[in-house]
Amino acid sequence: MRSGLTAGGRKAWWASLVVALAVTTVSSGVGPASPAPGPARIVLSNDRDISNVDPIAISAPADYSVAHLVYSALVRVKPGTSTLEPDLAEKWEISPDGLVYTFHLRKGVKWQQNLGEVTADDVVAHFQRAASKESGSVFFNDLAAVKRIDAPDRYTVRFTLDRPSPAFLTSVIAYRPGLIVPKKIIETAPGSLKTTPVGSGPYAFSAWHQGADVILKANPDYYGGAPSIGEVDIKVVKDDQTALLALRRGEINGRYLQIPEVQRAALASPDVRVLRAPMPRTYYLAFNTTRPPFNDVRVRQALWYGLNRQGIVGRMFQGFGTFSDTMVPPTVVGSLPGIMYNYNPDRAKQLLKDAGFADGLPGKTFSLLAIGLQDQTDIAAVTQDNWRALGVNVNIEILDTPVFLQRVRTGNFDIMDFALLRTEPEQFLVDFFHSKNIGTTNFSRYDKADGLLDAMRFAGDAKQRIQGAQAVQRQLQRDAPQIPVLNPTLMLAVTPKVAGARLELLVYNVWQWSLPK
Amino acid sequence: MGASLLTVVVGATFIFLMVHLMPGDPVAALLRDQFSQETYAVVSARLGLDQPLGAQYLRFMRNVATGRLGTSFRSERPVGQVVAEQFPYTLQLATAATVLAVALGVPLGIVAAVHRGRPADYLTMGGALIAICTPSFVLGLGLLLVFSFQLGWFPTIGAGGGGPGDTLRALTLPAVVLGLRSAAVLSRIARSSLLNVLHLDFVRTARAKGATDRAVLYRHALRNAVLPVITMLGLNVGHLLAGTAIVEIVFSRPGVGKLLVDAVLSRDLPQIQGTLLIFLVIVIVVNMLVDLAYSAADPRIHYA
Repeated sequence: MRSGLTAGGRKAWWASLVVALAVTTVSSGVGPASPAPGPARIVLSNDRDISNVDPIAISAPADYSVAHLVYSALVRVKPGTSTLEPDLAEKWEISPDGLVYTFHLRKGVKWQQNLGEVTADDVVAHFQRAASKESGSVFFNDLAAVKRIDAPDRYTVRFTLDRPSPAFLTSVIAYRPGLIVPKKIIETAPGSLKTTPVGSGPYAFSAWHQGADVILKANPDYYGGAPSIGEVDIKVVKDDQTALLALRRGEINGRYLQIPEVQRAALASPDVRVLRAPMPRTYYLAFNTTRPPFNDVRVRQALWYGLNRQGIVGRMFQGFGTFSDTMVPPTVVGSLPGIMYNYNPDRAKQLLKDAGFADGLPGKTFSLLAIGLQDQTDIAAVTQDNWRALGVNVNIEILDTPVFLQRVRTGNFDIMDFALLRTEPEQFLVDFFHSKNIGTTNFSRYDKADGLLDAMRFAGDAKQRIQGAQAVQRQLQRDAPQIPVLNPTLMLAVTPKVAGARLELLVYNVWQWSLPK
Repeated sequence: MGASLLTVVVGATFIFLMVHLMPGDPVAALLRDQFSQETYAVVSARLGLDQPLGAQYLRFMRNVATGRLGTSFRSERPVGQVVAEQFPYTLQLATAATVLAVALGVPLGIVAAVHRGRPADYLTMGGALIAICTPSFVLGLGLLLVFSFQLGWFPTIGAGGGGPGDTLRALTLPAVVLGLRSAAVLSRIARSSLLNVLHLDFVRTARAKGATDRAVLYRHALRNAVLPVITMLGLNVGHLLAGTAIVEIVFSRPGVGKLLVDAVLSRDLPQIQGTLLIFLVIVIVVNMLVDLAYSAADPRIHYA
């Protein structure tokens, strides 16, 4: 009988498999994360890969965490605080009428990649691009109040506003659209900024291995001096639990943990150090106020009273959070203090009775949309349980983000379960409750607070701004187009040897970190 | 070859329709909760999503015909280039898993067949059943906890990169997770196929001629029992490619599987289309190779 595979053939077959494995193994050696020798290397971790790190289009914290290290802004939030400090601008002035902002740039600050000195022309070109919707900027509305940007000299930039904007520094200049990109790149290859950032910050972009990590190298020309950490490797680890294991083994040095049970495990781990504070994120439920019975304010108020938020914070979030009666978290300027809607099922039933639903809403089931993230599905499950006791049945629909956004934008839902991460009261209120944003971000389709919202937006000074924000929040409390459920805990876990880490909003102040022997 | 080309064309059309009929708004997914009507319109036009579906289909098929797979919505990089960067990691994982599956599954199947009805058979087939039933992510997390975290033998995350030694260490657990199920399936196929052959006349003849048990098994029976195993290896390629996604996510490895999952979750339509098309071509090529392997394994099989 002839042999199908001779002895030599069998050997060759096995050899080819070994070679295939060896070739792919060796070839991957040139891929991600060739560790640099020496101690000055830090490995961080995000739960998502970067997608677009161009400052005018950043929409995800993972993108911002890279851009934050590569770029500089005119002014920035001092790490670990909420105060502003000079960055590219060594000083700045605001005219008494609040309409003219003048920034004086540091001299001699260099762009990475030998693109020369950072000048006022760069700043003007950058903000003109950020203000243009044709450029793909998602922040052009934030710059709508800017009438003119000019450069009186090489190191001075002047913004002239057509109306006062008390949040201009914090929500534009020191935020994502305020990270300055070089004019030369804007003129030659702006598309490259999506995945190849070039700035003047403490770290220079070195490589992106999609799905694996981003490598940054210390910028020796940084105006604040070269950082002590020579290389930063930001790895993608989707799961918080796996990230904590890697942290405990020292494979990564820093990670923001967001799942409550992992936060609790980190707190109990002797081999990680934890920094934590209340987070300016609001988990909330929004009603589609155009659909009955949620077009009746009494029904919405009843369901607010009928939701045990204390229980959600205590049991589902294991105490890692707080709750308030406003969309603006307590840590954000202008937040309205006090709790009006304490859990009260009797009051909820009374309000339902007043609305003509003495027996609840039997026989009807309402859609409750949630994105398939553990924290949001936990909230949806408790909501379903609490409201069932009132005779209101909801069907939880777990969706992925694109389908969820499509459904809520088009109003194809009854109730939605979502979370917002913002830093300014306008971002929590105007974007999500002004009628001009119905069809985009005003998911509840609420249109009863436009006057108050405009008064807040165009407030003349900080005091008026806070008063305006609180007036809006009082109105939203009364009208209840949404139920703010809770504000979670921000937690940065680092390995014990890391020094200098400060808690920031999902970004890392690595240029101030060190690894003492 | 003609049939294979036709399969690619029909498959590409099916992939295009499936991807475009999928619910979810790619522009909203890109801009998330930070967009206005104006930005939406600008981005939609830039991505070509404002074009009629027919025009988008023609553009896609024209690209396929010229070997281009379009540009990713998310990164705006060529889809082919992105897949090419990720592919070595997936190939590495799939190859290691296949080697493990064959090296473990076939011998265990032989043991079970030779010791049919005895403890070794029950033990092997029971173990195979458990391996088939255990979800990859459960096995992956369990192995991570024991061998990476507790014992420290393997890294918790990543694909290594410090050299071949590092890469092999990082590859071990993912390959075990991906390969174990295939090994279990192969062992069951090898067992049943061998049992069938062991009852055929030529085996009885070989025994009558005085061949030893070892010679009967390895020289006669096994060679004739190998065809179903080869068939299963070919069919297994699709399963392996699909299985890499979960394994790559659990072990935080780069790779085409994870790339595809990310693309689906962000509705990066060109990236989904391109990746699936490459998967399709791989499955077709592997199955062609399997057909060729039949004739190598069994000289009675000829292709005109």
